[in-house]
Amino acid sequence: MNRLPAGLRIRRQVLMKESLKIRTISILIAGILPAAALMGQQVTIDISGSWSLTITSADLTAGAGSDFTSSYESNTDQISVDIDKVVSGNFWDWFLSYNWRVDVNKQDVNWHSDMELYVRRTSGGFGFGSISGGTSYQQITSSDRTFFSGNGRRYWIPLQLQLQGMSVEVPPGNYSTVVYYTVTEL
Amino acid sequence: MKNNPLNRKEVSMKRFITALFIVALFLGFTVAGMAQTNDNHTVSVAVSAVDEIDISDAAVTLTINSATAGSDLDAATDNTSTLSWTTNNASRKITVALSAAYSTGITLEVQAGAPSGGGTAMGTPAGSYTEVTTSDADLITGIDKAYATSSITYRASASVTAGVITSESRTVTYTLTAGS
Repeated sequence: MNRLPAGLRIRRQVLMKESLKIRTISILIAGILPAAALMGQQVTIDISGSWSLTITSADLTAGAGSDFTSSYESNTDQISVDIDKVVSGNFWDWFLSYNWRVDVNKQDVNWHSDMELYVRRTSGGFGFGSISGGTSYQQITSSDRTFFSGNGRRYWIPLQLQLQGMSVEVPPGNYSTVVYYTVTEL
Repeated sequence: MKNNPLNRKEVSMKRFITALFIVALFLGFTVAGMAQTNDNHTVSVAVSAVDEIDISDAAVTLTINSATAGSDLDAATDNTSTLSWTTNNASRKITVALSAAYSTGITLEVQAGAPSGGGTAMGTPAGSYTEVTTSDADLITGIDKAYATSSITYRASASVTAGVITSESRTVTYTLTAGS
């Protein structure tokens, strides 16, 4: 049965031991390292869209002698939010159960103090988990405020924005603010 | 030794392990790099400069046809007009001017009532009647980011020296302009 010369037999035994060692290392590398990386995976949030509006004389409530309309609303799906957590990277990620909360705040670039910005969620988007809160307008301030919360992967959550406080006392100019949404796994 | 099948197997295994290690590291770093706990969008508001003014009556007729014996002709007045303005600019005023002069002896004056509206400062009307000529005259000054409406009273007077004039029509122009 053993046709190899003695030197090669020893060499084969050494290689078999090394091969076992290599296989063990392979399992560690192929299994534990990616698994460790995936276990540390965070819930992520992705925002799509923005909102721009222009106030002109057409926005006066009754022409000369009247003020601007004070309140403006965006489309009901002006902003879209995706909440996700990639673990397996395949279809089964849709069925993972994890609780999360979204907070919102804004950081003004150039904003007038009379103008107030509000946001609300107009539907639940798509997903097998749950979602709650945030369906009434709430003011966005420079401090984080809880917006809505939910469970599991949730895509295409539509948001609507509202601007209040517009008047002739807001001087002509370009105003902008950046609205930040933060997701936290609970 | 070069053709030893065991050596080839060893080299092949090492290459496999190296490749596996690189893939594992790449996977780990790629997944870790996708984590994003916050995202944002911008809200932009452009407010255009607005200076709007409007006079309510398209035409006003003033008829001078009476007098008190021993005095000059009685002036005619009309207070049916209103003047409205809106501006989101600071330092604005309203001036009034006539398209062309009336015949000698005829005078047109205008007076603005107290404005009602809102904003930073609606403006202050000239205290008494302002004669309307072909040159711009200040009617309301000190307007600052405001909207308002004011009553307008016209007063036309004529001297007997003007004689009988069938009719003279002129255009009165109100201008909302920069100025304090």
